[in-house]
Amino acid sequence: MSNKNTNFSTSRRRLLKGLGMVGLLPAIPTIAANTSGHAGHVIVVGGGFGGATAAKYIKRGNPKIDVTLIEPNSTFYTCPFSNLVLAGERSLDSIGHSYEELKSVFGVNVIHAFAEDIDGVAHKVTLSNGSVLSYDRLLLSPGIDMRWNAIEGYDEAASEKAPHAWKAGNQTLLLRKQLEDMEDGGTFVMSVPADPFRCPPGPYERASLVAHYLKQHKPRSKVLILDSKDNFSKQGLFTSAWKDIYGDMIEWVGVSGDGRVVRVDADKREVETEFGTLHSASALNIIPPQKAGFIADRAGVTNESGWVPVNPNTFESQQVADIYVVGDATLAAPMPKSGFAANTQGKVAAAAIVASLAGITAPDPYWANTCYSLVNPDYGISVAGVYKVEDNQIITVPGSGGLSAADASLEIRQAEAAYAVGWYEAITQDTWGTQY
Amino acid sequence: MISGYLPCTRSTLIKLLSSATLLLAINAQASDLPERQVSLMSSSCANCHGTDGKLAGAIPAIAGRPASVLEAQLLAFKQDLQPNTTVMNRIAKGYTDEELKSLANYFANVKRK
Amino acid sequence: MSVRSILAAFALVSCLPAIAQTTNDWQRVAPLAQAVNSEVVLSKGIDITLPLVAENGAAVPLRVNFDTSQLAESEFIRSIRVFSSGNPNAEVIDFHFEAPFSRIELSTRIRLSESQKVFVLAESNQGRQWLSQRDVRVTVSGCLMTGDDSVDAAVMSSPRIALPRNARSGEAAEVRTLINHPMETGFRETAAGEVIPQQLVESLTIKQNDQPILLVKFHTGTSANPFVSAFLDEVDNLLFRWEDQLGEHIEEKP
Ligand SMILES: Cc1cc2nc3c(=O)[nH]c(=O)nc-3n(C[C@H](O)[C@H](O)[C@H](O)COP(=O)(O)OP(=O)(O)OC[C@H]3O[C@@H](n4cnc5c(N)ncnc54)[C@H](O)[C@@H]3O)c2cc1C
Ligand code: HEC
Repeated sequence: MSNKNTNFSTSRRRLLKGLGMVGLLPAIPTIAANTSGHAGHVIVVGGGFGGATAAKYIKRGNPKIDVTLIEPNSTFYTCPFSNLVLAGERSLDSIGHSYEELKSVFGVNVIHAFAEDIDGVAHKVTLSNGSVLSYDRLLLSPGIDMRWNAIEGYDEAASEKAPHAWKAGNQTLLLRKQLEDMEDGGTFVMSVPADPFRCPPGPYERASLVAHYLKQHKPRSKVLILDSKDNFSKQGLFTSAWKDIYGDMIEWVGVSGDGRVVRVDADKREVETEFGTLHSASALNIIPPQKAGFIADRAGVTNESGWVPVNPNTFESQQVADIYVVGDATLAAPMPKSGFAANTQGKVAAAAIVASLAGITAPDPYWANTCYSLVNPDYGISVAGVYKVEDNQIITVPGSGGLSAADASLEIRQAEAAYAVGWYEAITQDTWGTQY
Repeated sequence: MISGYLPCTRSTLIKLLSSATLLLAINAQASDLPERQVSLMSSSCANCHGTDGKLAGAIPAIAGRPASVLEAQLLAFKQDLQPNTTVMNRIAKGYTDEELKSLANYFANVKRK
Repeated sequence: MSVRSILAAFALVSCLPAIAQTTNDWQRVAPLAQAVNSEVVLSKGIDITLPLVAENGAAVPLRVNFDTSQLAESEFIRSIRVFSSGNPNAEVIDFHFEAPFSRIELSTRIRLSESQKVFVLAESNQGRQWLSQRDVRVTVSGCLMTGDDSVDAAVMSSPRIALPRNARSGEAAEVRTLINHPMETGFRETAAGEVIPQQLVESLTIKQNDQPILLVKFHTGTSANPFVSAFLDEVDNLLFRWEDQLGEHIEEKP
């Protein structure tokens, strides 16, 4: 039960929200929170990179806070390293993570269900199993949903025949099967959306690792990337590595070369581009335009862009009080939509939630990001950045971050490939694992 | 006290808006950043070095090493003095020398197992 | 404590209008201020679609809709011009209509060097003007660094035209065009520090039955490989002609 004081402070905050002011306000220390034994109840929706990290770090911050994690799946398959599964270099099992340690070591209450509705005023979440839960603070990290039919002919049913594989698991295996069934001399066609979308370098890493597989098993085949933009992440590094390693196996067509796919025929595995060129594929991978996971819409935290604007200091929604949103669902540029960024946003929001439940000011946020990409299993490149808030906006700390050197030696590329594996072990341990 | 907030000038607004951030900024200038602050700052290192910097894999663990060693390493990364660095030079440049010192202290004080 | 923070909150709220009152931003954009010549500038009726946050300022998709129902009888739109408040050169792209268009809906891709305002000025054949604006935040997203700053030859190539697949007669339909060209602004330097000279495609003229119907003028604010789409009332007998600053031209029929 919340006491009078908390109610009072919440209503003040809600009033400010109504006036659109909260985004501008520094976290004014709220009046003493609960004086009773329990330190508040936080519900986390989504057990991916952002949500699982936040659940763990709230518990680390204050074990007295009750944390309930809502996640439909009992095993989370990471998108990071799913391109290695696609290329046959790793098993799907090796990228699966369970919630056991969050439960047993950190005392997070995990409920395997889908959050279906959220009432931000009443502070209630309705689950697919019919139960309704109350929260003091809610954190959403629902990741992305596909914008079905944004490309003519590409809906959920079509994604069974032309997989996106942009959420890992069954979709990854479907695309893997197409690649395995492909004849030597065939074409793997991939359609890439315009920004913003999950994991900006992901499509190009995928093209690389698909080429790595084809080079060994079907060397006369091609990879054709049809892109809805003219520039892409780490472009210089990727294109020169492609040439060195794969010759002309990978062809990239930007939007100004008529690369934007406007229609998909999943049955025929055929796509049509903006200026009417038809391409037929032996294996077809459509990465469609995206938006925040639907539960963000239900909570009323998205804006017309389909993504969630947040207060950069805390990742609290700009639109609804006491709801924090992290990860791919948010508008957090210049931070990219990456697992790394989602994890560090989860930590910033966790610290802000712990502080707000204790009635003190949130610590200043810090975030970092590094996206490793493998051009082949022994050739790694990366882009990094460190972020902070200035003038109430997230900025890249000047001078920090940047790309792997363009002229680095093969030893350095090899070292980065090994570090990419080290990063994967560390981030999955940090997100779902125990202290060691 | 109360009336101090009433005159509606732009500068009042800015004062109001930045009061909380200011407080923290002052703290940041002191030689020691507050514990929670450093703890949050250090948490992004965990993505490669494991929670609290304890994971020894392809990327070295950094927990429990002498603060002076860690600080010297971080400063060397920042100043591009460490050969064969792949990424730490790009990351260390995101922090002030003061912040790197606090990070070194933080990880030095983490017990390894 | 609590009373104080409430008052503080109200003080903030009542301060807001004073800050929001940014008087006539457009007057500070010289070429735009020059182009505004009517006494009354209307603000309603232009719909500008731009991302709130652009992660790649080199090619920001822009769509402009003008609500033609507000036009008087025999009044039609003569021009739609786009300006920016923060680019080194404020002019972005201009559309001049040589004939009445029943549907004014234009798309292109523009360059924005930083976070700024984008203005759209519409003018009718009767001299009425409409002005609308949008804020865009430009920030290069962390993972989007390309590490690629090659210099392409400044020649026009590969003109492309897409007609609607199933246009119905009597209904305006979208026609898309694109030509490959780097659109060098003259503001860019090579790695060695030499200024790369300005090289632009200057214009695209769309003719129907040998009569020009739409003239598009490109500026430094137009993205490389200028892309234009417009709704035409008829899509038969079209001819597209691009001209560059060197006096070269390319003509293409769908
Ligand atoms: C091919 C590929 C490669 C990638 N490689 C990298 C990489 O190398 N490095 C990197 O940093 N990032 C990488 N990414 C990006 C990374 O996967 C995402 O940025 C990250 O998963 C975002 O985390 P999130 O918490 O926002 O969403 P997710 O991790 O997707 O988690 C969302 C979770 O919420 C759950 N959920 C959704 N809705 C509900 C609901 N209503 N109720 C309950 N639960 C719900 C889902 O089941 C899911 O478990 C890659 C992505 C792809 C596609
Ligand atoms: C993207 C992954 C990544 C992140 C994030 C990261 N590190 Fe590192 N760290 C590395 C790698 C890789 C090395 C090996 C040197 C290199 O190649 O740059 C390293 C080396 C180090 C070393 C030297 C260890 C030794 O034994 O030589 C220290 C100290 C260190 N990091 C501290 C930090 C701190 C503090 C942070 C957080 C601010 C941090 N690191 C964040 C990847 C990372």
